[in-house]
Amino acid sequence: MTTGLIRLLATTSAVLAVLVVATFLMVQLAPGDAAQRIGGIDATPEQLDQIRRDFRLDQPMAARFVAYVGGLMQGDLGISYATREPVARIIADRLGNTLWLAVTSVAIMAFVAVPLGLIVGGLTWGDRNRGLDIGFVAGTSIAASLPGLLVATLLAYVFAVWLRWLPVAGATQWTSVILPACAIALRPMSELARMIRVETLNVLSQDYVRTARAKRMTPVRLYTVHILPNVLTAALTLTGLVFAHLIGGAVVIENIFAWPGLGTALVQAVMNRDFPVIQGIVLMLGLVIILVNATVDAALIAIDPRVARK
Amino acid sequence: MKHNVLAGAVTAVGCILGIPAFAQGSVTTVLAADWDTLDPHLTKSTHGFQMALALYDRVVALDADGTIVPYLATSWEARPDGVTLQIGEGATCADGTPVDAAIVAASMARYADPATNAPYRGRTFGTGAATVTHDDAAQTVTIALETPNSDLMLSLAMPWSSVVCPAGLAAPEGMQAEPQGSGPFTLTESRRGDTYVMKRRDDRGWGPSLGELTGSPPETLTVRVSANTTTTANLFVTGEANVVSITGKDIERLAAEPSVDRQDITLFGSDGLMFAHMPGRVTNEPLVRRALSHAVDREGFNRAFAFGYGTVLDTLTTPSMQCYDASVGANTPGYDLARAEELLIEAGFARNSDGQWERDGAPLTIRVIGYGSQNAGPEFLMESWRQFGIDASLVMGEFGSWFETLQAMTDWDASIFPYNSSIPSPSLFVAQITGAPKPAGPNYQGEENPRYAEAARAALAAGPEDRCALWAAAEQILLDEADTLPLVARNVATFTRGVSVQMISGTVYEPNALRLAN
Amino acid sequence: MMRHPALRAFFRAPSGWLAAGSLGILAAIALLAPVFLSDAATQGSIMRSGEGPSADYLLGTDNLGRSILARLLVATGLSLVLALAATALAAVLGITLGILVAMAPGRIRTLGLRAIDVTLSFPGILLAIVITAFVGVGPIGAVVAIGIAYVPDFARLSSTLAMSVTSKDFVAAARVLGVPAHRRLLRYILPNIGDSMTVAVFTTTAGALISVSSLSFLGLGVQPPLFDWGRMLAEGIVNFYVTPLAALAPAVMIALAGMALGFFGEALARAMNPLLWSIGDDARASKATGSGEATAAPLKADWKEGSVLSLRDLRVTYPAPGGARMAVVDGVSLDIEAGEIVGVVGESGSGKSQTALAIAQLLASPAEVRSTRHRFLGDDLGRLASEDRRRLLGTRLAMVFQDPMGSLNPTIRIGDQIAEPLRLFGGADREEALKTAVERLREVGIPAPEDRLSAYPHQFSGGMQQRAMIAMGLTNRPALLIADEPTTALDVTIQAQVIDLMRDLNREHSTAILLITHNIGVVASVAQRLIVMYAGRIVEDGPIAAVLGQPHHPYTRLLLAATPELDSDRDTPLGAIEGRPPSPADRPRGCAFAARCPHAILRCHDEDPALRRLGDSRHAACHLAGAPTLSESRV
Repeated sequence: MTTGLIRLLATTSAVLAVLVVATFLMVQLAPGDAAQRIGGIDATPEQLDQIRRDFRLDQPMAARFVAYVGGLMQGDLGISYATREPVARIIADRLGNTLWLAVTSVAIMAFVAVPLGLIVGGLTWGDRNRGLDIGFVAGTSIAASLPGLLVATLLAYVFAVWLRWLPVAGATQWTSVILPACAIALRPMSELARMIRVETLNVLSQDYVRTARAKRMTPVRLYTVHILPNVLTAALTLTGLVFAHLIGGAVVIENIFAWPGLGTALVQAVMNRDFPVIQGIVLMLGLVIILVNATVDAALIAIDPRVARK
Repeated sequence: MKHNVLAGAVTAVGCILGIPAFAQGSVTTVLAADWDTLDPHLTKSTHGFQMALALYDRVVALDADGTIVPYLATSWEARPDGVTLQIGEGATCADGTPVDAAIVAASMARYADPATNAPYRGRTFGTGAATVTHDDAAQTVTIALETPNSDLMLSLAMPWSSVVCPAGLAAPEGMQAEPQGSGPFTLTESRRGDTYVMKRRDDRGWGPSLGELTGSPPETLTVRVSANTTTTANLFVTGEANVVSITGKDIERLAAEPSVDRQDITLFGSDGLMFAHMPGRVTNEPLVRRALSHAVDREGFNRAFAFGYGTVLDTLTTPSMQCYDASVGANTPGYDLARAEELLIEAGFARNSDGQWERDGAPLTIRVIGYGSQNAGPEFLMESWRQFGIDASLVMGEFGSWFETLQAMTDWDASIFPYNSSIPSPSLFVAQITGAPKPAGPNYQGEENPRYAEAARAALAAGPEDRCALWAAAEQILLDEADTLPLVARNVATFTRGVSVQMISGTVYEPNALRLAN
Repeated sequence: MMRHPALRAFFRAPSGWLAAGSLGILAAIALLAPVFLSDAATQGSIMRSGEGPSADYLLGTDNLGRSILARLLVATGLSLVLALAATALAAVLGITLGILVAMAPGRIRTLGLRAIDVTLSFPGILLAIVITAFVGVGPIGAVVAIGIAYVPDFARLSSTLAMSVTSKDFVAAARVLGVPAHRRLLRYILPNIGDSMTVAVFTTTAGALISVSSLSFLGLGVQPPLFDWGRMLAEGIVNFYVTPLAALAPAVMIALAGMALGFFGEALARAMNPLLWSIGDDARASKATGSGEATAAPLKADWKEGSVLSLRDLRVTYPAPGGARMAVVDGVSLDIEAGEIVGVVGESGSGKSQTALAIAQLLASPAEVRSTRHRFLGDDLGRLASEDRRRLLGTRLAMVFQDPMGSLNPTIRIGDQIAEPLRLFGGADREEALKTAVERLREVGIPAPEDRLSAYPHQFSGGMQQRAMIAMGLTNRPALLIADEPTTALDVTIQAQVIDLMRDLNREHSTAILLITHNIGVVASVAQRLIVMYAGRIVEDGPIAAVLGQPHHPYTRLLLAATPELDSDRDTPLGAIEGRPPSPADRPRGCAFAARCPHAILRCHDEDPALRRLGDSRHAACHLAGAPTLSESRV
């Protein structure tokens, strides 16, 4: 187990290093005149020269890379072209919201998808309940095929504007997160439920389930003690993968629910060609995802005794 | 489907406990994007200006009629090349420092200093140097301009000329997120990109002379951020906001809401059809520009561009601005395909067998560029010209790439340009239309119109009595030469419920004038 | 009409029909709409812009007064082409990358896989958004952005699949034989990952449709004058509260196309993978109507007091193609006395395992089990209340299966698994139950059992796992242990130990054992009685020495002949008999063994022989059993 964790740490650091180089190159290779972008519509040539000095745009790439890495060490992610705000602060202001939204979506997704996939898997095993099978596949397909844009708009319409149960937008109270989280979770939730069902069917056909059945336990015990833990390892791996998709899905949803997260900031930065902000956000999201994956891996090592050996 | 039902159930359970907090006894407004900085001299966005208006004081202000009225300055003596302001007593910074002439002068000096890189410095002080002096005994501040600017007083009433307190001048970087002003409100809660809560200062004994206002000023001013217009409208519908400015079709929806007040404000300056004047482009020829202008049905354009909520005008100057003179646009090309036909023939073009315009065997090609928030406007232009037999094409992008193409000054012939200003003065068109071409200045269409440039210089240097006539003459030159075609002036509808507001421009309100109905 | 099994597999589920139909319609729309509706889609009256549905415009008009319906249909082509192009780009780059990584030498491969994992976990849409900042917006930008965003998905899938193929024997053999890499790729790897990649292509295309719409909403997708569903949705959603159809219509198209693509991919996978051709063919099979015999039949007089199990006329059926049901166990009757060890032998598919599972009542849908009697320890299982039956079977009957590794739950500690039966019915707390578990582990000969309680199954060797399984079966001191091929997965020396263990247990606790195997050697060493099964029936039954000494049935004889030395080599499997048993789906008239029987006479092909009593406790189902012709011609 310890060697597994050490190996995990090593690969995670290697991947981080690649991420840092990649994000740096991304900004360096960006098209267009950075100084002009920073200066805006009314900038004079003198102002542009000043900006080039301020932002080190006049220095060679190697020097800039050293400065970039040096800055990263001190938590300095550069300065926004558009607002001249420190990128680190832009991210710090929004990262919490993004994570809160992502974690809530994961929770909603897991709490719906895992039991649903498990129950439907149990009920449709051995080609039983064909109607339920077809209904489940159709329902999850529809949910997985609806553009998030529409899902978000419909949820806002029904629960915020029509029923007035939840706030329309923003992150003003704890209930604010529910609608955007549901909107984001719907699609991965359908996919996860289908995968959990397949995995459940897979586990159900395992010999150890037959062994468990031979012990004549109640179905509740059979599913919770013998089947669920085996489905969960798969579910956990999948959730780690889906987490990234949740953060991605958030970009559109954040706009509709005016959720002050990194997605909104990223889209704004792309519109403004604000490369340091793009760079910082990509770096930060990459970091979050790497950490989530590493956590999932570590959890797997802890949960499933077989993983550690692989 | 089961899935959706379950998701709904989860949602339903989650929400029973949380009922949206309704804005009561306070004012909640919505910004269409987050502000960039709270440093009033450095912000480039109207959202930053809106915040600055609530957090800082200015030396003068505009009242509901657009008249310049006293604020920190009780009186002034204005000339085209400068002004002397008499600073009043009683105002204090949020930290308690009394605001006097020295503080006002220091703030103005920082704003005028080229090293500050204030993006709108030129609007206030013109292109030349500005000298700021003050007299402690007389409590006066004097601004002297190297190049005359008849908009000086108007610009001093604007948020970018706000007075920054000494604490801010001592550490300007800090003002990025922490305001240092003497304004009507102080920022008590700041959640970036989401909500800003401002409390009214209880020691507020000064303010602009805005006339009789009924009702009580709100104790709390909450500013929300929502980039999505539909979402903003929803916030108003559910009562989570009680002052919103809206464009587009959601106006219909909000107008149908009960007990709602609505004000429509025309933006300062029309959106115009901008032509590339660079040598070698076919739009460099006045006949072609005029023909293209005649081929556009501007009423139709209004529907495509502004969902019909714009006002079709013959001038770039709008009735909401100073010096508006409808007669200036008398010769502006109207929708007249026959006239367009004549003009193209005069320019040497002829229709080929397919009805397409050609000259010397080469088709008349026009490349239109546009960006997303112009809605179907650019597409409408392209379709109009195509149907007229012109080989028109369209390149749409998001604002960033549109702006880059524009700056590159190659590969485009026509675009819709927002000749909008944050001040109700025609001066802003000057730089955009006739300033030095890129890269030295912001003249994207590459036009050189020395006659307009001369006339504009005269108008900027004029005193208040001659100013409007000179601006009218200048715009007349512009329109007569079909340098640009005024298309549509956009209107912004501001909806309020239980609050009276005074708009400074289409989307910016005067926080000092907010009043709750009793 | 649909002769080829692949085609049949494709259209088996309704989703196959629906998907093929919908995609056909979409393709027709994509081809025809631009021909007939191009003008309606691109020209409109600006004065009628932004209208809701009307007789003129069924779905209303857009911002330039054009028919949304016409645009929706004309946009089909571009929408699908964009999604397909993005997917094609992703597939080509991703599969190339994935296979290169899979075929690379060790360390490079590990690094490459990790790199793919990382890029995979980066949100695709964010990647796409960032890419548009470089390549610009428009159809090409969208295709490149979304295409690149999906590259890691394909790379991951193809590398995983390719690695599983390269590790297969035939590829390893090809490598050893010096087949060059590109030939290995074309000949072995690509064909073997084709079906999975096809499914991936279709599901990715569905995802790409949605991603393009997200890009459009952010203003980064297709730009006018081009239009696709994504752009229409993005434009429509702005006015959702005024004219909702403008947004709903394209969203529905995206969802429908996405679903059709997804189902089409699944159906295609069924068609491309021969292993899936027959699964689920029973979809339309109706449940056979039961005769009710099992509950109605009175107990026969020959019930012996002290019997552990008494079973009469057991039938196990499964749905067969065409709606009928096929019997895999067909009329088996069986008695087991207390303390008896009964061996059951037969080839694979003879129904012996199904019989065992039916006895234990472990068969579930789609299997159907019937019998005229099923008594266990004197109780009629069909009449017992379910709770009582659960307790009876849970405490008095235990099973040991073939693959101990697979039969032990990998996530539960050995001790808890062994203790579980006690806790289920004995009401013991965990501590007591674990104490018993230690005893049982000691009984089955596991050294230092206290230390093994907290181990996981994978930490045990194969033999220890099977001992643990047996210990688990013995926890409640069952009256009957059904051991289904308990030694098959074990190596020879371990086999002997396990067999000895069962014999000891039988001796010490007089546990009856039903030992199922296809290895006569195993049975011979331990069983007192031997039952031979063929094609779902018992064909011979008798005391072990008698049957082995003088088999009555030709099949038994052939089985014995195929097992060269009974005692020395227990590992020799059956199956050296020529021919194959008949499929339960088309059982021949007459004797099921006749086609393979060296002695078959005309009658055998005509008349099904019943199980006849032949002397003291011996039975055989053969017309020739006991006849001189058979006994003379020993094979």
